[in-house]
Amino acid sequence: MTIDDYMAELERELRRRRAPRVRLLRETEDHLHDLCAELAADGLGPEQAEARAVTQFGAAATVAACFAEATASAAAHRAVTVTAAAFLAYTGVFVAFATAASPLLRDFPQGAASFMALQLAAVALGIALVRSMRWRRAPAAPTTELTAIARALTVAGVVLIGAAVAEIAVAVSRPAGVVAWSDGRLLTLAFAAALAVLLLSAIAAVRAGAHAQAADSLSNRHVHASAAALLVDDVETLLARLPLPQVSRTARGLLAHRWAATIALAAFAFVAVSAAGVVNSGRAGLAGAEALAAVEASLIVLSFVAFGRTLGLRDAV
Amino acid sequence: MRGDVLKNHLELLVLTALKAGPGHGYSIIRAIRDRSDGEFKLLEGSLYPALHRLERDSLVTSSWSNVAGRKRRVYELSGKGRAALEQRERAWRRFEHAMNLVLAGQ
Repeated sequence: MTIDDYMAELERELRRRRAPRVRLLRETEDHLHDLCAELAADGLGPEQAEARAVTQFGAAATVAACFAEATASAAAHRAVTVTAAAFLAYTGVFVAFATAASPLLRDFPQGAASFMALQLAAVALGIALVRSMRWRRAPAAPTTELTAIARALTVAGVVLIGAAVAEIAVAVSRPAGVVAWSDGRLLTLAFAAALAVLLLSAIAAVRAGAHAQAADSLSNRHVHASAAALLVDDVETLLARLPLPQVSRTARGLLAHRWAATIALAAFAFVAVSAAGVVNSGRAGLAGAEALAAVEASLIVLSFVAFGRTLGLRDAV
Repeated sequence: MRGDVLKNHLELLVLTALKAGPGHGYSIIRAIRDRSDGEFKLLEGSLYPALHRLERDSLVTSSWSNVAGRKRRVYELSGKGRAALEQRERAWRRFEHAMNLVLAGQ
């Protein structure tokens, strides 16, 4: 194979994997010509030298896969950082809304969508963070992990964007004159800014997903473990770095019995929300608090049913 | 030496090669081969993904420069890269020491 043939093949392979091409192609061509000159100086003929140089450089598909996996890994880690920033921005706006906004603005259902979405987004982001931290120092993460990271970030982004849109819809559907625009101006602008950051994070998540998919379809390293099994491995690897064997055992137990853990979490949430309602409003508020607690507990179970597989918390049947 | 064994240590090898001074991809491969007495023959194409990753992590910097009349991408160890190299070198020494102890006990 000549250097020109090899370069054409490498470009095709990189293009199929959606990997950046210009710089790598330029460096590869320089490298191959240097190598070829060295081999020719050692006595090989021009054709032999070119053939030996491309062999020594490695099959175009292998080099492209290696580069695409590294690119996909970087895109996934970057998307985790951007989504974490968007999550914090939205949490900040929500906390400001819940604590400092005029009581007129805080009337139910305003805030309810954000409250629920933030919880689900926190779980999704937590899963993506665990997966990302496990592989951050590695040259490239398995593409199954990258796909799982992108999916979890997409879930976090979509539910938060949905919540922001719902908040805006509730705000604009209030009867005119009930709340003056000036009362909620700063808060509305803050929600809009958070929404803009969320859209950026969603773009980063989608890009990470596209890179992961392109790298996965033509990967040179096939990982046969499922996303759920890899998550267990990630958690164990991260916890093994900490001197906390008890925490390790507990986490392993929770991940081994995911349905039981979800039901237990829902039960805990029910008790906690009911107790918080009684503390805030006395026994008179118990019925309302229990209704809210039932909604919270149901949403935890429903979220596990609806998003468990997408988040890689449980395997597809 | 087997490529998959070397692959896990590629970044340490690259950082070490750059410790002596800036270099382009081809010169880095040559430095690794020469310093290992010809033992470490890398799949040369695997070097560039590693270099680009090290640059993304700010362990090396790079720029286009004229080398022997040709324009090349030249890589240089950053301050952060120098610190990372020292840390990875220490980790490797510990590993090597432990491995030697185990092998000596056979």
